[in-house]
Amino acid sequence: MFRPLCNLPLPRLLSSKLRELGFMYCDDVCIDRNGKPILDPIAEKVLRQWSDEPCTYWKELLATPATKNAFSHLQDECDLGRIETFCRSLDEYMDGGVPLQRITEFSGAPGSGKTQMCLQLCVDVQIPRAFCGLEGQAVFVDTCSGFTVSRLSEIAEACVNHCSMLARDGLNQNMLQAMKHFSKISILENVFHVLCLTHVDLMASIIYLKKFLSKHKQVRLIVIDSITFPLQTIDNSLQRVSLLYDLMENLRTIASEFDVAVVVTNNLTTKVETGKESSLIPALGESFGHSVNYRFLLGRMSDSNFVCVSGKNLNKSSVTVPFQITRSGIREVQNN
Amino acid sequence: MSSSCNFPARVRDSLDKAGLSFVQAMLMSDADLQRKANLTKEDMEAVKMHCAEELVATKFLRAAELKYRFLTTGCKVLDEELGGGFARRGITEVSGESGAGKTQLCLQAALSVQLSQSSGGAGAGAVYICTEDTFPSARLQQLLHLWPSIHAKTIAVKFSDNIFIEHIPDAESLKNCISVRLPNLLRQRKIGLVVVDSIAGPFRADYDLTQGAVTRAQVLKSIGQELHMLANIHNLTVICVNQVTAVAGENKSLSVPALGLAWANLVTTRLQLHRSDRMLAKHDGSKAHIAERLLEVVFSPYLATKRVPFVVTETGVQGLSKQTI
Repeated sequence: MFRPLCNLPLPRLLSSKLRELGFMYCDDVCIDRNGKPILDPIAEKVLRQWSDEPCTYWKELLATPATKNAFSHLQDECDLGRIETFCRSLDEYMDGGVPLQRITEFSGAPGSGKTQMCLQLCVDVQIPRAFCGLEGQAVFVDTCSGFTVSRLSEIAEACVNHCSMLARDGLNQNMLQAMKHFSKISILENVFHVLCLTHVDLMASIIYLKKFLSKHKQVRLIVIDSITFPLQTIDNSLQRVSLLYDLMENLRTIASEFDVAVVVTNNLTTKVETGKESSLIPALGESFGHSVNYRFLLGRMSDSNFVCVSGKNLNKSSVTVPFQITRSGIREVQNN
Repeated sequence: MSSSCNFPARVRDSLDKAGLSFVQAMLMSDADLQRKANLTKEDMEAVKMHCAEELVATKFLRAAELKYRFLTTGCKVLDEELGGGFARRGITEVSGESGAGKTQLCLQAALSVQLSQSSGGAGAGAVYICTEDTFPSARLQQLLHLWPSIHAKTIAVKFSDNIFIEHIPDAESLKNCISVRLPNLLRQRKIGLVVVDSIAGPFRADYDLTQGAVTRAQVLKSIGQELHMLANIHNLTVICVNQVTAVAGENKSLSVPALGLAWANLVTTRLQLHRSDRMLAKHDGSKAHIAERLLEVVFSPYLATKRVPFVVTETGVQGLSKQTI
């Protein structure tokens, strides 16, 4: 079989080195002798620069990628866990809530409710399975000092009261049993807080998350509030874009590998165009928009009335959903 | 790096030859790192994870373990409305028209920070950075004179000795003060409060509007980020006083804090002081009237929006509870 080397997902460094040395086809690099693959010694030396186990690496490269048909994809999507926001219209729009294994962005001006949304999700991810929740834990990566325990407590208490009421009204044994372990204190215990003041800390936290999540398998939500804050002092825009790309790449792998929802918040910035009026757009540029799955823009209309405008959504058209932020947290707007 | 000894020598040598520290290696993409230091992908993964773990493993704390304290404003009513007082993280902005009471509130904070922890203070000094008018020492003396009688529980503290005053003329000196001189002072003295009165002053005059907007934003961002970092490391309350600009609203003109979105994105809690038209009778028997003012919580991660009425008397800023109105 004369499969060309350019067909393989080799890093650019390896492919150019192998090409320089005259390797053109897979058979040049590795031959099957009596069922045992033997690597050409020169090629093996090149591969050893990239991986300590060149034989295993080569086998991985040649392996056919796993395929899935569209129906299994649809099934997986329907089975995808979701974290509700407690605003019914918003949850309906999101098919149940913020999805696991995806990256959701909430952007908005200061005071538009981004941190409140994140805190609400940190509580809602913990709702017990008896109430159709995920019974998971949350990690809150705090880069702008917006996290407050007192506010998280308030939202937690309201959620616990709501669930207690449901349990009592329904006289459901499972619910009553679950309430024994679901309290304001338990909710605070199950939210991990990480303070990241610089982009170095932020990158380190996201890299370390891979280790942390393998030790804490119950985590179902990662919040980064906000992802813009530590990056805004990087003057070199190329460095900023490259760092952001790496951060998002890591988050994507984390989301799917550990079955967690990743929620990031973003600031707004002014877009100035000559000849046109300046407008407010989410910061971090167009390329950032491509690395998240869902984009929502939050805005404050009045003291406790807010709106959520959906931006990017592959499955649905854009909508504007009103919601309220009360003492209890994010709620549906009550129609009089 | 403390425990880099469990890495084989060749890894450390490769990094040294490439002139990269562990932190720099962690921030680079795999492709760049491979090109510069010639490491295998297993090695790169190990280096990055090791560096990451050293930096942040101890920072993953459960919310139940966190203890956030507040700095008293010096007035019990205001403390209650503000959820305890001024936060000791992030930046609290106090904006308002001139004469609304911003400096009064800051002076009061500069005194209350020196109270003991049990009285709601921080048992520490204050740094007061003036960028516009000179420091109001006469008013401070007046407050000092009346304070010990109000706060009977305080031990004899020489309040005026613990306020460090700086006069800053422009944006560059402000940046220098915040990034170099202030961290030095914080390492040597126990400080609980930093006031910048005002943050708008150096920025409104210095930069010409068309071209300077981008540079102004950059300097503001670096100052803001530095203040956030210092606040978190040293448990400080940072109060930045801001001016307001008039913006045409629907029926009347509104006053919004100056410096635009670039600054607003750096503010954790935004408070705005307003002068209202209401005059209240003083309760000391005299026929004099005193102007009622309003403290508005514009946004905050832990407070709902609200408007708290207050007055400024000889003894300082006093919030009005529902009973006194």
